[in-house]
Amino acid sequence: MSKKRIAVVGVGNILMGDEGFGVRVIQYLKEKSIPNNVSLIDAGTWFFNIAGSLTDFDRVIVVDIAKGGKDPGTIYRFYEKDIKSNSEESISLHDFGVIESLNLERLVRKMPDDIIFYGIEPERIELSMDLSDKLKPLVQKVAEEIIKEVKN
Amino acid sequence: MKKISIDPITRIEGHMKIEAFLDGNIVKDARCSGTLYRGFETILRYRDPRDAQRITQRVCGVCPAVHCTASTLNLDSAFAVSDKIPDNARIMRNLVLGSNYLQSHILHFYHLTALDYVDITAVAKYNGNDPGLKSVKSFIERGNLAPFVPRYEGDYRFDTETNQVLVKHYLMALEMRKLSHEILAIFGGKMPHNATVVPGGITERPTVDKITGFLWRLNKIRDFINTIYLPDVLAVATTYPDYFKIGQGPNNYLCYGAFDLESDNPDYSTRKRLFPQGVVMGMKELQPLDTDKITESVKHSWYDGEDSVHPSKGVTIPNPRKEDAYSWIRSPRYNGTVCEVGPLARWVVAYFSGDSYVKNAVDKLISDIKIDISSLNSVLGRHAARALDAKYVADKMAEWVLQLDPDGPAFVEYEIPEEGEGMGIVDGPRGALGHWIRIKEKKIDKYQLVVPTTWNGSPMDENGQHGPMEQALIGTEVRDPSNPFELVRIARSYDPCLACSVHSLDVNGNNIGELKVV
Repeated sequence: MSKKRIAVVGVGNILMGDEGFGVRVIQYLKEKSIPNNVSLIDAGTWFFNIAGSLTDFDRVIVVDIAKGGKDPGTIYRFYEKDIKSNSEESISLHDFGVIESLNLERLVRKMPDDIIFYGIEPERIELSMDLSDKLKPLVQKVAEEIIKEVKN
Repeated sequence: MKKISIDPITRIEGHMKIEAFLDGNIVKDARCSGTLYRGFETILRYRDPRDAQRITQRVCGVCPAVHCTASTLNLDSAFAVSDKIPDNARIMRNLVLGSNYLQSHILHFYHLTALDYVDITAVAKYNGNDPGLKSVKSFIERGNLAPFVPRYEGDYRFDTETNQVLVKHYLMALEMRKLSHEILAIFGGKMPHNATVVPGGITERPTVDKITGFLWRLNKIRDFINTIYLPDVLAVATTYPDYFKIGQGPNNYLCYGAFDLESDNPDYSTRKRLFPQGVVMGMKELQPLDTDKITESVKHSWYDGEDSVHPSKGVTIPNPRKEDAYSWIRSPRYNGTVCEVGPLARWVVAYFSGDSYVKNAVDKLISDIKIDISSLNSVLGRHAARALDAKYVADKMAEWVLQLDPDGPAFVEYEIPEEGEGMGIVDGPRGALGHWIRIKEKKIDKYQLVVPTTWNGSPMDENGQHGPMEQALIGTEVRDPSNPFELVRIARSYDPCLACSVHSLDVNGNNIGELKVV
């Protein structure tokens, strides 16, 4: 049986401090040896831009910051059902978040059901190209968790 | 006076907020407020100038290619190669920018605007076999309506069947958007945040199979624009004709021009572009663009500093406690005048420049829908201009891609100067975008951006002149102040783009116990 095709997607804005955590994890993983059935995707500032292309994968792992109410630096692993939708009203296209994007794409193409989220509680979201000291060492930790996950 | 506040999503870090003050049912005053502090410029200081092209693309999720274009033009000019870019590079840059126009316009009309006019709940009555509509139906039946049902609904005028057809088009548009991203990646290397457009040209080579793959996909998008998008905009226009009278902006228009048609004129204000540069005051004659007349004021913005300062001299000193301030957006003005930017501005400027294609298309549009040209200054005028824009750009892209020379050069060498200044101006889908740079000791000393929604969403200036969106809201009759869909339709017609990319996953507090903490 051929191996599952897996996408690891980093979301975030590297100009806004901890907001860029997901992209930093992808950049870190690009320097590591990862199984050849795994694609690394830097979705940058807008998940919706790459959502449609996830149709090509069996399994998706999304890395982003997450507000779960625990201390900064807390790493969460969760599923789509745990995320709040933010589309009560959209004035700007920016209002399409991860859930809205997945919901939309599912209407027109087969999207993977197996989607896992790694979220990290941010400390500082402000203009800066650096992660906070709290989050900096966690890039490696999350990346290692993901490597374990894709090898399973 | 009654106050209506539309503050779409406070959970996201900062957004556009609209406040309208009503006397009876009429909006007497309006305030547009950008609630996210922007000072990306500060990140760029002391960096290698070439980083600007990489970093400014990350300012935005919807239009990274436009920031890429403006910053690259800016660096070309600072590095003194703006008149030396090879034709191959000029064309591929146009194709990258054009791909961004197509995805942005299609997305805006179908996925943000259409559901103001199309009743998606009509799909609940659908009994046919279309797989897309069937999945929308089952989606609605599950009661999970996000992102389909706007909070402000009402005034739907299409019959059930038309609504269903339009929802089908909404789904088809998702495929067109994917195709637009794919063609951007052909010459841009990747999407989002393309990797190939650089000062001096482009690092991609125009191979024969890239050209073919590009054209094949582009033709599918063109077909969609011609047979679906344009007719749908016309259907909305003829069904909601009153929206040609609602949402009148300042009636002054500014365009930086877009899509370079020549490579050897170093002056971006005068070089030949598909959409010409210029300013039109009051829907009459064209004035040449003079970028020295652009100023920014901070009278009602949370910044310290002087009013009426040229962007290249502007400073970013935040002061969140400033009295009388209500926005993080500044107020750009042209010669002291409030100007609208965006597709409508682009088309008005091109119309008065005498461009024959644009003139014919506009004249045909206004005679088909039986309106006069002044009615284009409206909610529907903006949507119509956006659709015409998509068609014109897509058709031109099909010509340009065949002008590429697989054997020709696409890059020219340059040197970063010890000291220098640059300017990059271009119209993106949402209008005039300007980047300014000053270089000292081969590093960025100063970088400023003035983005399109800064023009359209600007607060009042020191002379008490309201920004374009504020002007468009003032005077509007709101049928039901508890459901102010008129105001939302006006705001959306400007296609505002402000949040500038801070999105976190908001994990449902009730389910927090299910999260596994690693």
